Amino acid sequence: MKPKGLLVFLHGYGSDPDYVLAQAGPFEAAGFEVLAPEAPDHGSRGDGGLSPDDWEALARHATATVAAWVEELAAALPRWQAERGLPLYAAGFSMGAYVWHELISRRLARPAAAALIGMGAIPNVPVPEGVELPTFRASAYPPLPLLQIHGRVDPVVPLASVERTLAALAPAYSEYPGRLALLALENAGHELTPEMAAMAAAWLARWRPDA
Amino acid sequence: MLRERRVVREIPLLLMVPEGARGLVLFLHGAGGGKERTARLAGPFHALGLATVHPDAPLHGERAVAKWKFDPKQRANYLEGVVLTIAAQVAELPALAHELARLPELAGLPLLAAGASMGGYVWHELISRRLLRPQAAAVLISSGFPLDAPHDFLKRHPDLVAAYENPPVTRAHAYPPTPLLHLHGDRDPVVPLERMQQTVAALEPAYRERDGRLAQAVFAGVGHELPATMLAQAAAWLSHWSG
Repeated sequence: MKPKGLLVFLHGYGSDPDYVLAQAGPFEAAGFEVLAPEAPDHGSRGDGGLSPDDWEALARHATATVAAWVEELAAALPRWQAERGLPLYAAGFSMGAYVWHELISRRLARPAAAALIGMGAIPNVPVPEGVELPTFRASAYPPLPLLQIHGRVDPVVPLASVERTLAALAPAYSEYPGRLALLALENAGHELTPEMAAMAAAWLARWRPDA
Repeated sequence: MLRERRVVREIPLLLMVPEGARGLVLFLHGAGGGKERTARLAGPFHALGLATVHPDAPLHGERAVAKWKFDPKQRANYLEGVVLTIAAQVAELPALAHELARLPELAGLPLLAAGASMGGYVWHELISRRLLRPQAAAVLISSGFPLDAPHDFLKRHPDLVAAYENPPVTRAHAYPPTPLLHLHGDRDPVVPLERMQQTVAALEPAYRERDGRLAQAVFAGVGHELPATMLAQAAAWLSHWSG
């Protein structure tokens, strides 16, 4: 059956496409073609060789990776969409979720709906001085349907930072009730679980024109 | 798809069974509602291959009694009617579920719980008292606490004091391993969001060894209502755990 949407699923920092593709089943069952690109300086594109003990260097590298990925995705997404003739849908885990926030808030991409897991628009690394977070550009989001999914006991990205993201975006969504939501799973950590994937797939499918 | 009105154990209900159904959702309506209301909202469940059963609660729908108005403006009448309905429905649903499981159209399907507002509270009572054990539950715009009672309400109803002093959340150990998702609007004026959050917080210790089986979804800008996006998430939760 021909897919009804192109889902671009972005992986997390220090991870690879296989991690998110392991949970592609619910999305494919819901009618999406799943595309999981590899981030710059990750996997086959080189891993930067950073030690997790060197936190400052890691943070700088993560920030640079995000910037590079945002730039290349802004160019690639319209091409991928045009090649397939499908509407675009967004999913991301951790850094991949944050990259989507950058793309959406800078109006570099306009997916039909987004399901972002494990990170909101507030990163867990220091932001360089003068850089505005995506939440400062809240008006760019609506009417995009956005579901954030998070583990209550996430030790890497605290749930509180995602709750702050929702609080910052909520005023912009005042005329779009039900299009901004947070799903919190108790006792889940910084992970992409089958439950999270199932709920994300249902959210995205709900917003397809054929739903 | 099969759509029929039936009467099972003297309870009028609507039965909706899609082709190849792989789960049975017993979908309970809220105070003042009726089986037709939840049936109209059941599309997302059917789309995921889940059959739905929509019973009229006692004192509701075809079982309505003139004395009970379920008008929130008539506070005392409303509250008493809700309390009576809950007690009667909790008492009758285990036998109904048993009978439903014997219907040829539903035989072998795992039982799944969905309830809105009062219906969600009824499921809390059923699960916490171990009267029914659904394979998964989705509680919409509700909590594990009873409605706030006026100051003198319990004085006039001493038989209800125990229920108010021992709400379902005090029996948290009875819930696991049932996967339980609460869905709520952040502008709910009837069941405040805090009540749902307090419910999840009270249940969390009992679920500590059950990763991902207790969850809450909060929808910005949504009141005491059931938007399609909320129903779709409830359906996805039940579908995921029905396998």
